[in-house]
Amino acid sequence: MIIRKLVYFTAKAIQNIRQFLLINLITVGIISLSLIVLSSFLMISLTLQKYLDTWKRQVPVAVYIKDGLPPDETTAVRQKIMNFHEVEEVSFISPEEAIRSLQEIFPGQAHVFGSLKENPLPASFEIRLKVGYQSPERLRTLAGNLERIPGVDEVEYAKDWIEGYESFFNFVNTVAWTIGTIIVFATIFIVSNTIRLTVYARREEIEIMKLVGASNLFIRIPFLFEGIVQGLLGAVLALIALYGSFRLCAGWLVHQSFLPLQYVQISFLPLNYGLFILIGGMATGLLGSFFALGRYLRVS
Amino acid sequence: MIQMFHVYKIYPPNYRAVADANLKIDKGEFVFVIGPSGAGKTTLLKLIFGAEPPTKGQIIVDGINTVRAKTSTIPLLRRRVGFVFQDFKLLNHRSVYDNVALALEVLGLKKKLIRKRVLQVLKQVGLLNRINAIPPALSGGEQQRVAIARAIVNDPILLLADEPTGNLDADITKEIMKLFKVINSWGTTVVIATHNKNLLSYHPTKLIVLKKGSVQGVFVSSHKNSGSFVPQNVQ
Ligand SMILES: Nc1ncnc2c1ncn2[C@@H]1O[C@H](COP(=O)(O)OP(=O)(O)OP(=O)(O)O)[C@@H](O)[C@H]1O
Ligand SMILES: [Mg+2]
Repeated sequence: MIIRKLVYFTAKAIQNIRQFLLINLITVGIISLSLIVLSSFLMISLTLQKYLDTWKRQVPVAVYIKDGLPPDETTAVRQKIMNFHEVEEVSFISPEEAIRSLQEIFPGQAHVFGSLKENPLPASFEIRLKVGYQSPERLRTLAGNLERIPGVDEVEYAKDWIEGYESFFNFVNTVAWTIGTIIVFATIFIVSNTIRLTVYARREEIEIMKLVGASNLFIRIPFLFEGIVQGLLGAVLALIALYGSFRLCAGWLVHQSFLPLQYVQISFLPLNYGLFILIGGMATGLLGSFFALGRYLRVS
Repeated sequence: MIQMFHVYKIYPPNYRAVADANLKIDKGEFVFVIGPSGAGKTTLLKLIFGAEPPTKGQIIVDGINTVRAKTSTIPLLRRRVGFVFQDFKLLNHRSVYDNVALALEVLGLKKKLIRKRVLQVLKQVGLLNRINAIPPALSGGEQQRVAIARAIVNDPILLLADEPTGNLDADITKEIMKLFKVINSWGTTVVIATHNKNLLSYHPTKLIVLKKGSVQGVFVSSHKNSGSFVPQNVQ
């Protein structure tokens, strides 16, 4: 019984779509376009997030210790740093090591460092933080606390960078969400108008169906199916297009030297996002047709 | 089967299509509603069918008060009532078969069963040779018979027929009236609205005379299905 009805309703919905094939195809195209835009936003957001995380994990916090601090006090400072639960790893950088790494970074200028009478670089501890402790506020507090350890001269981390990147990320996210919401509503509106057209074309049939005793639901369901079918088709198209362009672009992007993407894989949407797009497409179609039917189809 | 209490239908702005109608039609009756054009016959049938709400009064059909009933019970009532519309109300883009099948599709019946029943009814109205035609390709009388077929295809407990023989010649009128009689003999209450007095030879159990919206008289036949119809005024 239920299967028979499903078959009947689906057949009706397909019949509706075929009657206005062009306008339905355009609607499917629009649904698919808006899903593509939304998913691109999602991909950009995911990639940025991943990049931010990787980058933050590498953010070094340098704790410079006072000049000429005796070794036992240096050990005490190290111990105190280790006591912070945010700290994952601490390594000691002696002034000599600091010079050496500078020379590695600027190999051409080796003679400059060699000509120095006295090593101007202080000894320091380089701290790596545990994942999840890199937010700007947490870093600020941690830096303050570290600075209060006796024997510590100065604490340095890429404060401006982190805060700048974070606010950029938030900005991009907000813009994406705003545009995304507008797109969703516009799509629902377009679907709703297409369905309304079919309903209008079928108003005579609807009237007669009511006269022979069709319930409101019985009349509505084919139109709701029509919306769902449109949404589903749109979503499938969108997924195909997204995957195709992802395969084309991802390889190319990674090999572009102007983008610092070596550490990061561009994320294609994970499986559950694919499902999300399918369900989102169907929900858009369903909502669109639901609104289209709102005013019509009362028993008379 | 049908009861009307002080039913009024006033069309805007202030036109009384039906005024203070009090009627009682029992199960199994064969009723004629007769009156000149504009008397309110169609309006009366539509009121019974729930296609128009009365301005005033109460209507009870098969135990359901159509005025007070929830909107969802009206479709359930209509599935048990057949209506032959004066203007047929056929779908012009669908075949004769589809038009008749529609009344069974809303019941959710199996395709096979629908097919069997539709063909059976189309045979009864003499349209088996036209099942694939669309209504505009049919004569007025043929269209009327499609409308009749659709109204009886679901074995209604009540058949409301609005001028069902208006476009039919004498021979087909005879056939259709015989069909109505058969359906009536199986227990369906039949109410036929017409201005054609000749139909009185088909022995109604009750005759309702309408004029300018008011019931002029209700005549009950002395002997049900007796050879001679002797109307008597009961009002
Ligand atoms: N929807 C409507 N709006 C306004 N007036 C209407 C409406 N329907 C019917 N009427 C009026 O109500 C009166 C009764 O109409 P109705 O259709 O019931 O007559 P009838 O007896 O069926 O006539 P006929 O034999 O010509 O079919 C008519 O004068 C008609 O003009
Ligand atoms: Mg009429």
